[in-house]
Amino acid sequence: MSDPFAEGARDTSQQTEDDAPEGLAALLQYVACGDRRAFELVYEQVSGPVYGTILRVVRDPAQTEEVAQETLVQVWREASRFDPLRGSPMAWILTLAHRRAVDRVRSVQAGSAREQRAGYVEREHDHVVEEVETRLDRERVRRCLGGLTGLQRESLTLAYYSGYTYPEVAGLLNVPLGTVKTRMRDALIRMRDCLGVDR
Amino acid sequence: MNAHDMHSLLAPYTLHALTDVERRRFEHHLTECESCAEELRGLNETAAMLGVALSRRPPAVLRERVMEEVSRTRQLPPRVGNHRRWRWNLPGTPLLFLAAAAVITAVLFTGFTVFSSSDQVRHPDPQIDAVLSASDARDVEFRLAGGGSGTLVVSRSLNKAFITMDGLPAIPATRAYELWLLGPGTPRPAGLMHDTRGSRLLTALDDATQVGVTVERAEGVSAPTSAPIFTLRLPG
Repeated sequence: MSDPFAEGARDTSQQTEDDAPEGLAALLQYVACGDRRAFELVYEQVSGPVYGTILRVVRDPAQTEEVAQETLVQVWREASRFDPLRGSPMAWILTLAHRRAVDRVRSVQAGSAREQRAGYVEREHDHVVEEVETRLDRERVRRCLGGLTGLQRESLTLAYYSGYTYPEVAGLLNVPLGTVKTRMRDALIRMRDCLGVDR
Repeated sequence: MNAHDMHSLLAPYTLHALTDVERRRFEHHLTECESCAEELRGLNETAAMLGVALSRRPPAVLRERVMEEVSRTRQLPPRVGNHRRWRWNLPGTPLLFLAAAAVITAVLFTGFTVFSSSDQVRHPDPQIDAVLSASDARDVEFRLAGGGSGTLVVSRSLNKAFITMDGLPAIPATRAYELWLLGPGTPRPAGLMHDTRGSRLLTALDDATQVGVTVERAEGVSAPTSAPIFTLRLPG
């Protein structure tokens, strides 16, 4: 394998596989070997999604920066643990980010404070759709979210975007636990098919 | 909880919407469910798309901080034997083997994380898994008037319980929540919690009928110095 970071490597006609769209997985292999330049390239690609995902859940910019920093350093520390057979690098990294974001809101907010947020349920959906702005990914996600039933969409967004547990979502929407679990699954499967996610 | 019920937790698990107890149970289930892993992959990719759509340029200072921390952070070595461990999961697995499987879950998990468990705080604990999956496990969900909630899972046959608490009132760093096993004798200390959330395995329940929590000095005390902020009845 040629070194993709060598001076002028990108100017030669011999494009390596590392220039292909799956570059993130290849970069992670370099990162796992301690290559900091590779990590900088990974940072360029993933810091926006990581930061945006955490910000949506955590809301507070200062805490978002902390959680984003923890997540990105974790990517560096655990790059060797990434297994492409289990999914894409972006899914791995955003799972780490979302997990940490959710942990943060659950540890910060006492039960009572979280319940006060229940008043905002009605507005959750609009808010998400507003934030999902103009870019192609956003358009697709918005279009697919729009194709869900109201209950599917609320179950999905209250969990993913607001960090509620499914029993909390059931309480907020005033529906049985089993219904929420089913709607979450239906919503994810519909989104998967609508977005054309590779399985 | 049967396999069908477990399967219904797949989507909430992907969305990180399970309670702590259910997440542990589900991750335990994942070690035995190959089809779950398959479906989980697709759902994880879908959830990631929701995140990608939220992409936002972070402040420049984040990059500086990350690069600075990275420059002094040791990396984990690659896992040895980082492979599927489905091989042993054959049909007709003898019961004894399943019991052994529960005990070696921690080892198995090193080869199977499905992305979510690589956090150091999330390492599965075979002792806890054993309580959560015990045939006589009883769940007690509780919500506290002063804020906070949690789940207590009790297995009298194992003589153990697992408690997880979330959103307790904040306490100063000089103080800690101390857990007690309460019964006919004097209260027995059962662990400390320095955060507003956490979980503890309670062992040697014996004749205890209740779990209580008091606020004590950070290093803990051998006998409670104040009335419990709450108590929970231990079923069974």
